[in-house]
This record gives sequence, C-alpha cells and structure tokens, in this order.
Amino acid sequence: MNRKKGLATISLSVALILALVGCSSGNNSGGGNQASGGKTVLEYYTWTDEEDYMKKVVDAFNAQNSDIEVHMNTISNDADEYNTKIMNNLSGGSKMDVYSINGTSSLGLYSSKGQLVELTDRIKEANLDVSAYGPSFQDITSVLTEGKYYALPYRTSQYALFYNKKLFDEAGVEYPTQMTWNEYAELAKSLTKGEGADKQWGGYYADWITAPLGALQEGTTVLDDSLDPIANWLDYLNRLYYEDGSHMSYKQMKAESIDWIKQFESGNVAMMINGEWTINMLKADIAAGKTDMEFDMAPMPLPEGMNDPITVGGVSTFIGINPQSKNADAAFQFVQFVAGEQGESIIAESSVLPAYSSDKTKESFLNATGLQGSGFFFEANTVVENQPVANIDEVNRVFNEQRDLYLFQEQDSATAIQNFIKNRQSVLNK
Amino acid sequence: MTSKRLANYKSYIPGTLFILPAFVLFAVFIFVPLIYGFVMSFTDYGGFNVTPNFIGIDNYVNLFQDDYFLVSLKNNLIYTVLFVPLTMILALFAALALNNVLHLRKYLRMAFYFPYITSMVSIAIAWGLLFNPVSGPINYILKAIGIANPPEWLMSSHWALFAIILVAVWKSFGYYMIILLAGIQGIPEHLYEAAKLDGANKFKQFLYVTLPSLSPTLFMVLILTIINSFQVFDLVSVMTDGGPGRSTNVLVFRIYQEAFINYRMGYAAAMSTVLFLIIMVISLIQFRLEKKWVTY
Repeated sequence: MNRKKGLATISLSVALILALVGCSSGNNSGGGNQASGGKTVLEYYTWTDEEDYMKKVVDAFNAQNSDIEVHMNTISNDADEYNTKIMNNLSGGSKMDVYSINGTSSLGLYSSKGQLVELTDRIKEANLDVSAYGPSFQDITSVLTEGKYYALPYRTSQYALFYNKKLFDEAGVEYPTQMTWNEYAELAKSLTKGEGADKQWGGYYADWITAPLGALQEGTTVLDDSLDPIANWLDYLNRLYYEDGSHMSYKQMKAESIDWIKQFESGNVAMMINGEWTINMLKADIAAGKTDMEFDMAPMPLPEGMNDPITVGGVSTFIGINPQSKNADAAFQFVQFVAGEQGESIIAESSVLPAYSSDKTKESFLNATGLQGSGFFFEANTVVENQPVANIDEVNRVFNEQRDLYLFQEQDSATAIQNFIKNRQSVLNK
Repeated sequence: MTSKRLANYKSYIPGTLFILPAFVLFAVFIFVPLIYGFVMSFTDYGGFNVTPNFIGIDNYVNLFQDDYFLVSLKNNLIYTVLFVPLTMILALFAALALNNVLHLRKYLRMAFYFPYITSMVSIAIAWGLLFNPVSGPINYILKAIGIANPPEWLMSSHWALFAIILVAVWKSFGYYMIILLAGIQGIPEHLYEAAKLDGANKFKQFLYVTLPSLSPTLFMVLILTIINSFQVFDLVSVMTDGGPGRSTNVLVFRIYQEAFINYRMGYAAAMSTVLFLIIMVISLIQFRLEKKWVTY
C-alpha cells in the first residue's frame, strides 16, 4: 500500500517536471528563412492602426518581388504593449526582420540600444534622396543619432484646424482660414452656445495634446532656459478651458475620459485642433456609417505677429531592420519600398500624410482626402513636436505633471513653470 | 538525532516529493528572479540584449537623491498608514457582524467578498465614474446633504491618494473578513460560556475572549495587509496614472515607469531591492513583537 503511494507520488512529480520542461522548449525552430518555393520570407511587425494601409503596401511589394515575401504581424496599438512585444522579439523572441517605430523617442531608444541596423551606407549605395523627407528628418538624424541613419520615415505628423461645416453654415459664419490664436479663441467663443444636452462647443482641444503648440511655433521648446512663451501658452489654454468656456474644460475631459474623435463626430463641436491622423480616422468612421458629419480643415492658428504658416509635427513613424535578421538585404529592399515614392503613394491614398514629399505623393494625398484645406500640410513649415534628445519622454512627463496641476486649477502658471524647471533639472542630470 | 533522521529517510521521500513541484516553481519563478534582480541593481542594465556594466552602489546612492523616488516612497507610506488600519477595522467589524447575524449571512458574506474577486480594471473604471467631481453620484450626494464644496477626488492632488485608498479598502476588506470570520468561528464556545458565568457582558467577552483568541489571525492579516499595501499598482495605473502631479505615484508604479518606460532596468531593480528590504524589515519587527501581543 505504502509503496504504491510512493510510486504514484514519484510518477506524479516526474509528470509535472516533464510538463515544465516541455513548456520551455519549442519555439526555437527559427532559422528556416526560406519558404518552400525558395522565397525569402520577411517577418514585419507594426501596430493595428496601420494594418489597413500597410497591408496594401505589403501586398504591392509582394506582387512586385517574386523572390521575397513579406509577412505582416500586427500588435495592439497600446504604445507600451507594442514596445514590450518588439523588445521581446529583439531579445530573441519571435523571428522579426523589419519593424515599425512609433515616434522619435522610440527611434532614439532602439538606435541607442543597438537594436537597428545602421542604414547610412546602404542609403548612399542605393542613392536615396533623403531630402524628400523634409528638414525635420535631418534635424532628428543630426541630433538624435549623430547624423547616422537607422531607419527611414514613412509618416509625417502635423497639427491643423479641423472644422464642422454644418455648424458654420448654421451660424452663417464663413469657414475659417489662417487665423491667429487670438482670433481662434474669439471665433470659438462666438460659436459656443446652449446648455446641457444642447451644448455646442466652439472648439475642442484634447487633453492629451501636451506639446505647447503656440510656444513651439514661436521657437520655444520645453528644453529652453527661458520658458515665458510656454507660460503664456498655459494661460492661453486656461482662457479656452475656463475663462471663455468655449472649449470643454480640462477637468471635464479628464473626469469623463472623453473620446476626442467621438466628441467631434457627435456634431456639437465647431472646431478642433488636432493632428493629421484625424483625416484618416474621420474618413474611416464616415465610411463605416458611424457619423455623417462634413468636415474640412484650415491652417493651424498662428501666434500674434507671425504671417507664414507654421505647424508642429515632423516625421513621426519609421521603419527599420532588426540587427538579428539574416535577410538584411531583402529587408532593406522592403524598407526602401515602404518609405519610397511608390509605397508612400499607397499610404497617402488612405488619407495618411506620407513622410516622402513629391508631386506624386502629394497628389495621392489630396485626391484621397478630397479636402480643400489639406494642401496646407505641404505648404507650412514644420517645427519638431518632440525634441530629439534622450530622456525626452521623462522631460515631457514632468512637464505634464505641472501642466495637469495648473489645468486642474491648483497652481498658477508661474509656479507650474518654476516646478517644471526644477524637476527637469533632476531628469537631465540622470 | 541526525542519524535517526537519516535512518528514517525513506519516510521523508513522499513528503519531499509532494513539496518538490511547488518548490521548483518557487525557485524558478520567484527565487531566481529575486537574486537576478538583486544582481541587476548593481548594474546600468537598460533592457534589450545589451551587456550591462557593473557600477557598484551608484544606483542606491542616486536613489536617495532622487526626489521622484522619495515622493513615491512618501506617498506609499501614507497609503500604508491609512490602508492597513482601515482595512483591518472594517474587516473585523464585518466579520463580527456576520458571526452574529443569522439571516442574510450567506448573502452578506458574498456581497462583502464580491469586490475582491472583481477585476481591478473594471473596479477602477467604475469608481472613476463615481468620483467624477462634476457629474458623479458621490459629489451629488455630498452636495445634497449640504456640503457646498465637496472634494474633487481624482482631479485633486490633495484627495486623489485618499480616494484610491478608499477604493482599495472597499475592494480588499472582504477577503480579510473571510479569514477573520474563520478565526472567530474557530474560538471554542466554552470560553464564552465561562466568561458569561463570570458575568462578562458582550463588550467584555469581545475584549477578553474574542480579541486574544483571534490575535494569531489578526497578526497574519496585519502582515498580509502591510505587504499588500506596498504592492499597490493597478488602481493607480488605471485611475490616476500617478497624478495629478505626483500625488498618487507609489513605489511599484515608479518602479514600473523607470523599468518599462524609461528602460532603466538597473535603477528600477535597485528600487525593488529597497522595497523588498522595507517589507522584510517591517515583517521582522512584527515577528519580534508578535511574541508580546499574540496570545498563542
């Protein structure tokens, strides 16, 4: 009896240990890069928002290249989740040859940790014209990666003013054109009316747009010594949110976790400052029947005394190669295609602003949006939204903390700036 | 003694084998990472497969000059000081009440326990709506009973931490209540009978019978709530993201930010080691004091 028990125990433990060992093996069957037909298979990773148009780019590439097949994988949009998965792949998880990089700070992170193949020589050999990506790419490359190229951009971000045509028609007001921030605030105030369920907001300025747009247009960034324009910008936001009450208050947006695009689509917001991605998202929702609103866009308002259109943004989405990839040559072909004129035109056809600027991509974009005002994106100068330095995410975080406390009306703007300068010091000293 | 044990080794084999699977799991998933993290805290490891450099105790030196870390430590101590007594008192009262209530006992036990098994994220979102200073029901009620300027809860750096503590207490007291209830029901009835014969009223029975008999259980609950309070993360992450300002940034949340947003793994590992030491020292002190106030 006792012996039987002992035997049972031993076999149970052995079974458990085997199960554990079983878990850890497997998944190491990589190495086979050649598909059955002798094609080179590239594993490409991006996030789900991109699936729609990147699928078309991948299909076009596969159709043109009989010897390479790109296999696209999409991961959740959530920035942390995407970065975690990519980090996991880079440390030897799933096989990955090419991947998309969201934002300049991620580009800085991956390049500084040696997780991207340096492309400088390849770009030279292939005779690529990097000036087509505009000055922001040069700025980022020279500061962030010391002039070396680790990835090519394929999307540009720019802020602009979007407006609901119907509300302007109803009010008998002309559609907006280039305004100053002051004029914008006045116009928003005049378009605000009603209470409760009938409330109509003159404008909507999303709580998560943390970059001090007006100050950036004037040439001041969060890294500067003198931050007066940023203090003025905070006061300006306070005017929109609380003094004029022409925008849904910062507190309300935060407390109710308002979805900015749904708010705009609901038809009770006349104007909205937001990024170029708004076009693609609105058009998708209109096509899906979620809203029937009619919108157009105008240049982003300017600080007093400035005349030439200037907006905030810059190249924002990049594609690069995993150093562990055994197919770097094929991968570079794909990178070139995505960030080149042909791939960028396909991207532009989905109303997504391409990084590569040429007559062809511009035409594709303007045709796709069908918006009068969208030519602005190709005319305005762009100042970089996120300064290309290490630690910028942490600098932005400590800026947001003080901005939050100010917009929750717990401190004045001068205190907010003072505290920010103090906290910024300890971030930059790390 | 030893030789006797050795001679008897056969009788140990089944027991050892039963422990083995759990021990292997503990070793692989807890003990090894613990040691690994401790070693990492002396390096500048920054994630990815980049070889880290050994930098001695630099991380620890920087830690105590890092006001962000110190703020999160302070917030966490406030959290612990409020969360632990509130949870214990509420759990004890609920357990006593349930022990005496005959009707509805099953229903109430379930009702109190329910928050504990509900997903933290849905709880955080639901409470976020309740705490809404503009249109939330909590401030609506407060205004209705005559409080003109109710707190702005999650929108206020003075109240946000307190709001999170309230939710945490509400969520977890049911679990400790079940433990205490089991303890109360394990107290022999004859002790109460003897107390009654000696003329003790209900309050004295509680003071001289229930509390001393329950002290081992209370001690365990105390240890568990304190450890629990230093591990708070999910409520903060979903409800406030550490804000407004830094007012709800607690230790584990700061560790998460340094490790997985700033990719300063070595530094975050140093923070984790400090957290580990805090919990260990508090537990050791308590085990010392246990002998003084735990009855048996």
